[in-house]
Amino acid sequence: MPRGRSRLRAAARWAVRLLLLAAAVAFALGGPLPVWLARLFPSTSALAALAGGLAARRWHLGLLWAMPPLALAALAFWRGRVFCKWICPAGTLYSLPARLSLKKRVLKPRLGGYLFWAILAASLFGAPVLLFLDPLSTFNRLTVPLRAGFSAAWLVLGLLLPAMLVLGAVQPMVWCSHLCPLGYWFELCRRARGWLSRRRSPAPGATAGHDRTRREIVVGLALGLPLGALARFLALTKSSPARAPVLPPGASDPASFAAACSRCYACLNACPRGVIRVSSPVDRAPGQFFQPELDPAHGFCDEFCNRCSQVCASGALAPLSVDEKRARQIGVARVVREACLAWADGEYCMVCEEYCPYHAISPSEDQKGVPRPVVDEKLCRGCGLCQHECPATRAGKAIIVHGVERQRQLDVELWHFEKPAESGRSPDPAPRT
Amino acid sequence: MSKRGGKSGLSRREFLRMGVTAPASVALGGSVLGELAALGAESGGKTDVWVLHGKDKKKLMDKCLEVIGKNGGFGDKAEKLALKVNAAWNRTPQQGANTNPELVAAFLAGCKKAGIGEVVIAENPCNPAEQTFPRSGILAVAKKHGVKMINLRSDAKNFRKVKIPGGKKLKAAEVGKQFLDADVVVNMPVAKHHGSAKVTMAMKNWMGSVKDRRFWHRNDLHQCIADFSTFMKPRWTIIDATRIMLDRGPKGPTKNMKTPDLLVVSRDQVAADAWTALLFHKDPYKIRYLAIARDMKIGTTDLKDMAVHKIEVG
Repeated sequence: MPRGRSRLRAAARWAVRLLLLAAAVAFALGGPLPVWLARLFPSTSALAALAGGLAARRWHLGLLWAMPPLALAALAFWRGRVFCKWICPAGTLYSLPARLSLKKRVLKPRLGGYLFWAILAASLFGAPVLLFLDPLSTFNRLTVPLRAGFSAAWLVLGLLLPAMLVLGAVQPMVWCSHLCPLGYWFELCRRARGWLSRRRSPAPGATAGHDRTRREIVVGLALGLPLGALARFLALTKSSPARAPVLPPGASDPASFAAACSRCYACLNACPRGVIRVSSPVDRAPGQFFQPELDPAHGFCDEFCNRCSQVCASGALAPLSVDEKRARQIGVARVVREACLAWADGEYCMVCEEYCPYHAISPSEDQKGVPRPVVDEKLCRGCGLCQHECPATRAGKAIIVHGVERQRQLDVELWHFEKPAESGRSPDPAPRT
Repeated sequence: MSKRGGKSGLSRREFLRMGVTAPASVALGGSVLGELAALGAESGGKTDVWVLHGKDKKKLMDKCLEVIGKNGGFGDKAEKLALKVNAAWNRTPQQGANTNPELVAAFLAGCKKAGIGEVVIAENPCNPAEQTFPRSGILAVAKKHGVKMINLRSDAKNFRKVKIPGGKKLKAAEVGKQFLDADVVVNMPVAKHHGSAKVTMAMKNWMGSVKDRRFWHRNDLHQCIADFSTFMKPRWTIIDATRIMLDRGPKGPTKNMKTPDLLVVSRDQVAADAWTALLFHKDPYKIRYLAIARDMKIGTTDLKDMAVHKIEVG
């Protein structure tokens, strides 16, 4: 009964796909789940792994995290786009309306291959600028409004998936068949098997696949190399922002981060304090478009948390232990004396000093003995708790955190809770209150 | 430094000597003689302050509850008791940023014995409650005794606006309703150094009961602390001075710690503060809110007007 079996298979496939879709949403949102789950889906992308590694010029994946993309590539070698048909949560979403689609071909050429090679080529310049097209990054982005609310900055990249859904209503699954650079990668693995078997027993027309692949590589490189160079240049372009961006802990320098980040916003979703936001492109270098940044108006970087650095799939954030995070300088706070309750108004405030987890703020008393805050830049980590808690309102916050040219580990002494087990692992703080 | 007292501790002898070496105005009289004198002392219109010394936290608190029981207890119809501890910081008990959980445990056990029906601990913490409540050690002891620990910030409905008729700067505040609705309120702060308030003890501990602390910082912190004390008058104040931070407060951690092993107990939180302030400064009026409390006559600040009962708890 082949027909019955194929029906059963289709039903099983849909059950698996929907289950994985639900899991992907749950993992992306995180909440009380272990933090590594947030990385599970985005890290299956060989595209993010390859491009991130090339861009950073170092292999950022440990053995464990290199397994999923390798296993999927091997699977594709034998079975083609199994990942797309069974696992990819974006693919599942795209195939939901496929049957109701108008079935018109508006996009004829298959562009996925060009995009794939362009992204890899651009990453040679350290700027895989189109990496945000990675379907897993695209999917992950979708959950951001559930954590951080809608923002204009999110809309631009966040609407990629909904836009493709709409396009899919005209041409069924147009993203998967014509555009997806990750899908192309699996296709490529499959083609590689074909070449190997044909080499053993040459068949007529065997070079057709070669020609197509060659064209994809050449065009991809021709697009990607200048694009990467331009993106690198744009990311580096010294804008002189009023406030240099404060990047999540684990980023190195702003240009490398801007280039390597796939804008999947897993770090944003993982942050229990809501301090990581999609940045507004205003006052930013073009290459820093919509990158995740810390905005102390919304929260602060928790002293005992390293979650964001643990979930990055593209290597834009290096994974840090909790202690490494605690010693990492991601920014520096500066007192705005004109706005400060102590400096300008003579009030007994020092809330910034009170909250500072690192004792980086000390009092300097005026003639009347009113203490006024002074920041020690050798101790300040830039966590933003001072800015978040500053009670000044007359002229805005009186202490503002600015980004640094390059994040670094400070040579500081750390104290520990009684349980030393916490030093290496995230204490998994519950979702923010 | 005596051998018995350890490096920074206070031995029995030192503890008793404090009465002699303290400013001449400190009227200690017969109270130095110990418990009997203390408990039966004729206060003569003076404000009673009990100062309990001992290493064992449970015994300290048991003695404190005995003192409370013999001096009016928690009142006649004390069914619901609201306890204000300090559980504001993501720090451990040893670091002295929060009230000692062993003291809280013994207090909760004592409440049950004293026939209190329901105790509630409410706090508007500085660091996130899901970190400070467990790390302070207080959540565990509260759970053990079946006591609810409420994060006031979790729900805006926890706060109710009240007028503060005696306030000069702070004329109204949104206060945790648990403290407004209870039959009896007890304040159990930890004494420690504080950047802007110099020292924080009982009066300042109430900042953790209000919704908008920031207003206080913008409008003369010391005046607001004093103002709120004209409104919030707990039945008992028990200051935890078992270990105190001498700098880097209120959060710490600091290496500059002392272990006076003291509980300072009074019906008058201002008096308790004024006495405890001596552990930090020779002149308590250097702490501005105490000077304001003196000028506004909110409570007893002058040691001359206190009957200090020193009790050694062995």
